[in-house]
Amino acid sequence: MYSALHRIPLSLGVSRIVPCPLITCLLGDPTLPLDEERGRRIDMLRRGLVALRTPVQGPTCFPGE
Amino acid sequence: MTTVAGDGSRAYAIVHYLNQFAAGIGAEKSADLPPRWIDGPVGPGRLLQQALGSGGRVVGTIVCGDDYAAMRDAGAAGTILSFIKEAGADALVAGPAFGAGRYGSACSTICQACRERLAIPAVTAMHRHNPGVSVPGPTLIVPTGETALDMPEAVRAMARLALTLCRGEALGPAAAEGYLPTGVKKNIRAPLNGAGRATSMLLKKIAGAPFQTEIAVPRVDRVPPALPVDDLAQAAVALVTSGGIVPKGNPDRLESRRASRWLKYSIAGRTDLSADEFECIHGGFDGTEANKDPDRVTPIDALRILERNGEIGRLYDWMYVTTGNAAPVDRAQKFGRELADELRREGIRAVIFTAT
Repeated sequence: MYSALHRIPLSLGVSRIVPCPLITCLLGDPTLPLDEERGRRIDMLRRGLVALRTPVQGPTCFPGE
Repeated sequence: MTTVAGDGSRAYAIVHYLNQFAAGIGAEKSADLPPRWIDGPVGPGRLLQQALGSGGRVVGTIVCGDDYAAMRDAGAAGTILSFIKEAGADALVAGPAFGAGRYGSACSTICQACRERLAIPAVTAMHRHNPGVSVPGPTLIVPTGETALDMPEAVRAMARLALTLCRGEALGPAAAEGYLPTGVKKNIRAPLNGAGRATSMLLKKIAGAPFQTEIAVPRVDRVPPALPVDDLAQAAVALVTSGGIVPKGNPDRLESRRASRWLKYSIAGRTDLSADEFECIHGGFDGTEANKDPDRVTPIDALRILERNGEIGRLYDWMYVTTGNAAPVDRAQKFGRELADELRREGIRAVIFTAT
């Protein structure tokens, strides 16, 4: 799960969480040129792929806190 | 600071915490508002002052944007606690937050920090399914309905509890005092011993009469984590969002809050979601940036690149959409079960879920 309010899914028991910087623009950054913004989006999705490949015992943030 | 009248009666100093919406400062566009102090009561604080009567005085109101509080919780708490301390507060009252998740979480977090770090009692109010109830406590929370229709009752209950705490009086059990169980157990002397109480309860149960259990069995709904997917390069991956990205014009009339259903839209052959064809109808955050580029919430463009690179096997042809704000828990559970069943049937091995 991608969430800018990651403490909420963490407290509710979501297993794999990727914290995001902005609630209004979850996987983006409007201050960046489009190519850079897309690059950042890809990086964030790769964090999610790492999460999906990683065994977890309970609610876990990627990267960890 | 507590003020003492000529007759010796006390008016305790109460600080009230509100989000930007309740304080009338703005809606989602003001959600990043840093904490600010306003002298005296604001908005529902006026009702709180009435409920406190001569027993308490709302000396000031702290207003903080929902996003600011949620995303910078340590920083926000530090500033808010300094306001409370400087005001010489005898108690903090936060909310009521009703069904608003970010607001409820902020209220619980601030109440807990106030109690722990300043040793000042605090009370808040929200719906029992508000995520703020899950914030580690113990926090004194008055249960409310989902909307502000319950405002007068919630404020009266918070005022009563705050004054009880200010006077240093012990609170009775949650059910008797009107707050959600905190998990704190206290020894009390009961009129019957355990065997007598158990027998009495059993007889009531057999007779079909109402009875009150002394220890409620917790109904914890923890989903075991799914096993890792170690062959993502071969796996079908689906995109699910509660961010409310729908075709322009919202042809299926998905609700912007308290969604009654989830929808699915074909993304077969799409390399991104253009602002000409899709929009964000989520009612819980400012959708301006998502409307400029819906890939910011549903990242089809980046997922296609990962698909081309062989980092995932394939992106599933359908995108699943709902809005998650103010969703009743039982409805969200139903959506989850339905989506999981469908995705399993379609052989999907992993999901990228974008929330808020």
